[in-house]
Amino acid sequence: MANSPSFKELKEIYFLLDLNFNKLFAACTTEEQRDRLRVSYVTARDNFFEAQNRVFQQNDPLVKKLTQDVKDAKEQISGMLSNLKQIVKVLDAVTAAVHLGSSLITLGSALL
Amino acid sequence: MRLAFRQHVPRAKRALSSTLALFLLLPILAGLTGCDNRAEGEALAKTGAAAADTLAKYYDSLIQDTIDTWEFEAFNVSIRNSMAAAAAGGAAPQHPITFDAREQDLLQKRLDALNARAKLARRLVTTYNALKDLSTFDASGAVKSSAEALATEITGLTSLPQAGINPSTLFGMVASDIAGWKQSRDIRKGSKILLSIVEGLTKLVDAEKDVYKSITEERGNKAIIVAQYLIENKMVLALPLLQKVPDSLGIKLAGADKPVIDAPTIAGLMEMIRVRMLRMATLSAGAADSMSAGLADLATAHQELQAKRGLSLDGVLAAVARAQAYVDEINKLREAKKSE
Repeated sequence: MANSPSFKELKEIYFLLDLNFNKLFAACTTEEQRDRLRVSYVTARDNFFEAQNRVFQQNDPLVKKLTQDVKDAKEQISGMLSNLKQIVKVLDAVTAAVHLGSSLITLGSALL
Repeated sequence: MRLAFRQHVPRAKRALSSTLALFLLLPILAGLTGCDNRAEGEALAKTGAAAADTLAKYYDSLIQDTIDTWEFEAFNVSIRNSMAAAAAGGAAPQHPITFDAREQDLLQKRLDALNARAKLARRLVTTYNALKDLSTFDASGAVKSSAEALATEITGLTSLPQAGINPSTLFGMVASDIAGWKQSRDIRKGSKILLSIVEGLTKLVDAEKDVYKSITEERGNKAIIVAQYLIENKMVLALPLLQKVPDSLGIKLAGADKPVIDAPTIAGLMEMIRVRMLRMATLSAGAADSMSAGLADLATAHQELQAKRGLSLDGVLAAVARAQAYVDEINKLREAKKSE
């Protein structure tokens, strides 16, 4: 549901990856890294689209925890963007954040 | 089907026949144009029309944002996949970025839902205007047909993706109330039906306003990415973004007819573009909040008229004026090239 913190965090992780995609891509040194980045971007975007048709029970402790985890991961990635020399660590953080988002999605109930 | 909100209302959707729409009109007229509060009824109708018109224009803005997002994402995905192929020495990436039918279908559903809401708002304008102009208690053809059309738009509302709201649960009571009223013939109850429509619209906008805000944000992000590509690849003449500074000093911008090549200037121009997109998102958010407040005040005004308390329209008028100003400013930003 759009007015929920869960939707907000799923939106913001997607926007963060979208706006910084080129910077992250340029920092990748191998095709495997670039592939990871692409997969993460598509998953984050799909999570955002999927959140459109989900209702999240904000009082559910697991929903609350995962929402906070996604938020923390987003803030960690934001902090790493100023120095992308250790791109593998950055991509690890991105992959973890997106997986958390996917887990959060599974806790949302489908509207239809 | 799960509800986004717990609604203690009947959920059955019923088609509103033209006969029921006709029965809708007479009590509404009694409620709005009664002998002792005709002037207030007309003022309320005029204000309601203004509010509905601004809401329709705001939805138009969100529709354009969605179309832009769709096109910009298609461009960005193509460019990113080309970058990927170039980085891999021409080989196709194992996992290209997709923008497939499912994702595009979702954008089309969003457009359909927004178009339906814009149409509903415009029908409400027509109904309010017809009521304002009515001088007798007989239901004119114009009022009857506008009420029928309004009923049709309400029953045709689809869920807006991202909102998690089923509009029929907010307006469902309208259809069942009309059916109930037809049996009881209670004029007072009938005059509440228009209030129910405004209350349903208030709840819908309030529930969806964070969605509305995210639509403009998303569009802004996509525009920033496209702009960056164009500027960095020297496909646009970007210096005119700074034109107003030399203009105000009476001096000429050198090199405005050439692409910018130095990194610091490109970075500065990109920051200007980000700020412009942020302004559009902020304006859209302001319009959403103002419309939400304005519709709530409009519903209150209807209740005041029902209860024959003194009518106060200041809150509605102020909120609608704010929303309209935001929408006007968004449109100016869209058309910036014509003014720079």
